[in-house]
Amino acid sequence: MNKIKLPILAVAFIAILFLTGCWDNNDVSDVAIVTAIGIDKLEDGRLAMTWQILKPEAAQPGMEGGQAGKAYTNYTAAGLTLNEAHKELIRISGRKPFYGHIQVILLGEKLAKEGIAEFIDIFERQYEFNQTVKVLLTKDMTAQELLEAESDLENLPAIHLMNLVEANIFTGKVIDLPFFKLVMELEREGRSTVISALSSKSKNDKSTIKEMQIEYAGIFRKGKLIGYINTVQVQSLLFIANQIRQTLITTEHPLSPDKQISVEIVRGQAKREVSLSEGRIKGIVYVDALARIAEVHETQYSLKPDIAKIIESETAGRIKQNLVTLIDMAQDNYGTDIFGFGELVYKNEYGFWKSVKDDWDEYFVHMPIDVFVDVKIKRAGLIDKPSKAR
Amino acid sequence: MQKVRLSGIQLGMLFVGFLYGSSSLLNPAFSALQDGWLAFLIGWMLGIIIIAVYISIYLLNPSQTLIGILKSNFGRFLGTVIGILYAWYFLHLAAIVLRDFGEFSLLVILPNTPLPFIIGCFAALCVYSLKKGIEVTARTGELLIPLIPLASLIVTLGIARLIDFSNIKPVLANGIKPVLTTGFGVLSFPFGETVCFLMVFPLLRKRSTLRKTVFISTVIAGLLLLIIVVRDILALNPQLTQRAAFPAELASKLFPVINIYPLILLNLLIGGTIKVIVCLYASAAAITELSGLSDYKALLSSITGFSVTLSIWLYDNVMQMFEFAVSTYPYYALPFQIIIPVLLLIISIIRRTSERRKTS
Repeated sequence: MNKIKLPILAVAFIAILFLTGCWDNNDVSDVAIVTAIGIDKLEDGRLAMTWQILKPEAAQPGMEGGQAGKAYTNYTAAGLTLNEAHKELIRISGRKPFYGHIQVILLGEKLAKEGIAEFIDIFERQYEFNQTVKVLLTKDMTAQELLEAESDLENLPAIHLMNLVEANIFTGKVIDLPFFKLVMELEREGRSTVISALSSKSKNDKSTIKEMQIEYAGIFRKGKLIGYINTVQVQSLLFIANQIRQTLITTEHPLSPDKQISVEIVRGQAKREVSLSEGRIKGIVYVDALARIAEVHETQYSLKPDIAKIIESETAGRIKQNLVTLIDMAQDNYGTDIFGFGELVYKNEYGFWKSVKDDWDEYFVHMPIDVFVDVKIKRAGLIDKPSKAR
Repeated sequence: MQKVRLSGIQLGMLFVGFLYGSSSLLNPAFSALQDGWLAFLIGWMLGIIIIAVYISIYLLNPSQTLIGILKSNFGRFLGTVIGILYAWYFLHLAAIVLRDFGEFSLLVILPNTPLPFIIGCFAALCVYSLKKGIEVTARTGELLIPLIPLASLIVTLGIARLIDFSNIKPVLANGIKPVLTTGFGVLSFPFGETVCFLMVFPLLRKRSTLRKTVFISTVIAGLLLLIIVVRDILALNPQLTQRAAFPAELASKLFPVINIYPLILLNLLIGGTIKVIVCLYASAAAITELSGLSDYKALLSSITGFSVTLSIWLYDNVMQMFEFAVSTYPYYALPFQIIIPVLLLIISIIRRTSERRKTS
């Protein structure tokens, strides 16, 4: 027995020495925990990368030094490739980055205009990047400038930016685009990408995120930014793309046009179709929305079923009008297929697709698209008419 | 020496683990893009046929290993030569699988660890298991293999929200040819590789259950792989699957909120180890029988050491590895997996009928 035990014990002790897992450890205080990455293109064509690094000591409230200052700091460096910028950042910050906690990736406007496809390679190729990070554009400023903005709500501006995107499920006016979806969309046949963009309210004040807003979304053709649409149009786009969770439509009350009425869409179901007849492609969009009346300023009429019907058709009319405006804009102003009708043609009418795939956008511009919107109002809240001051 | 015997369920589990092992990481049908499911179905059907050929060979030459069958059908000299080639093929296969797993670990979880160390650890585990006997592996497999489908089911459910059924369209956009080529690839990896089991079949306790056991496990493993192939097409979309080095790794990255690498690693460690063990066993047993030794265990360490070295020598870089797997391997494996077994089957049938005629 002892003869066997001794070697086993020896092996166990040697194993303790070598298997502690300490030989390439990374202490939290030694790594730079990157919470947001900004990518810009500089005037000389180099790429600049900005890290927003969490300072763990400062991020803990109540701890000594917790009030000492900002919980983060920004570093920027440039290089011909993003990997070069990454190494340069390590050189100037003296810390090895930890990318596991990135909340947002910000793409600068200049980079977006010159094409984003090549510069997202690093995020796919390197194993440490999380594929579900949100992607945002910056409009009229660089990503670096945006990351300098402080947040009055969160310790970390990166978290604030991410929350701005995630609040989309309540507003329906921001495109929640995780990184892997961006890659998928860029790669799809016959579809142009749209990415929400942060812009500053005033030209001069860029010091806090409060001054920023996601007011626009950038339209991309073949990976290059060609223009912006506003939030109402983003809402319409999300309707067509079947990504609406909750959103609000405000119209005039049908029976007294000077009073407003707000209808909250609680579920939007959309279907896009393409049909091929006589060698022409026609697009059809169906939107079915469930809604509830959220606010009424009109004190005269009770919400009788027939009134509700009128409100339903008024709301549907407003949505349809928005959708048609957006479709016209995409066809006439930008000339690119942001709805993915081309993808539907590719998938369902492959024979036809082969004849138009090289200039699908030109075909799309002249394509007739029918829009059908149906709104069903199910509920009207706790009261009927609003109270009336007598 | 006490004779090793496997029960039906143990053999079945080994079979499932072997088929599922590395294929779950490398999505065998990715190069057919959105028609991958069709290519996989074709490969699967062909695989069932070729596995039926292996079973028939064994049943026509009962209680003999592949080497014995080769010797009795091709004659002593030619049988020995082909037997040596088979021993080489099994060894090479073990090396290929070891390298696949080494590269995966290096790329995904252990980026700073030297490749020989990772592969060496794998191999040491395999040698340890085989030193205790193949039946130990089989019993361990009985316990662990059921965890594999569970793990891949969790990953699949986790990314179910990304599933878009329209991704399989357009069907046959590039014609049937790439689908057939890929289907052929699926036949050679993983189904044709079960030719290793011709060395294992004689260990089965009841020969009568062989056909049923192997058939059921092929169907189960095929279904599991089909789920993975279809998941990658529907949820990850075909282009992404084609570009990704390891689609399973990408799928786990898209899992919401938590990091589920451990589940992918579970597949890797259980399935991969089983596959390497079966290959090493087949090779060791073949060499033992060819050289007239009594016990394969004496050869194990040297054979494993050789296959570890070989796995590091095989490719200069990962690009070569993928290139070899897609364009060279199906043709390299063709004689071992299809041509020689079919010849064996024909010769066995002829011999059997002529023997019958003699006796009657």
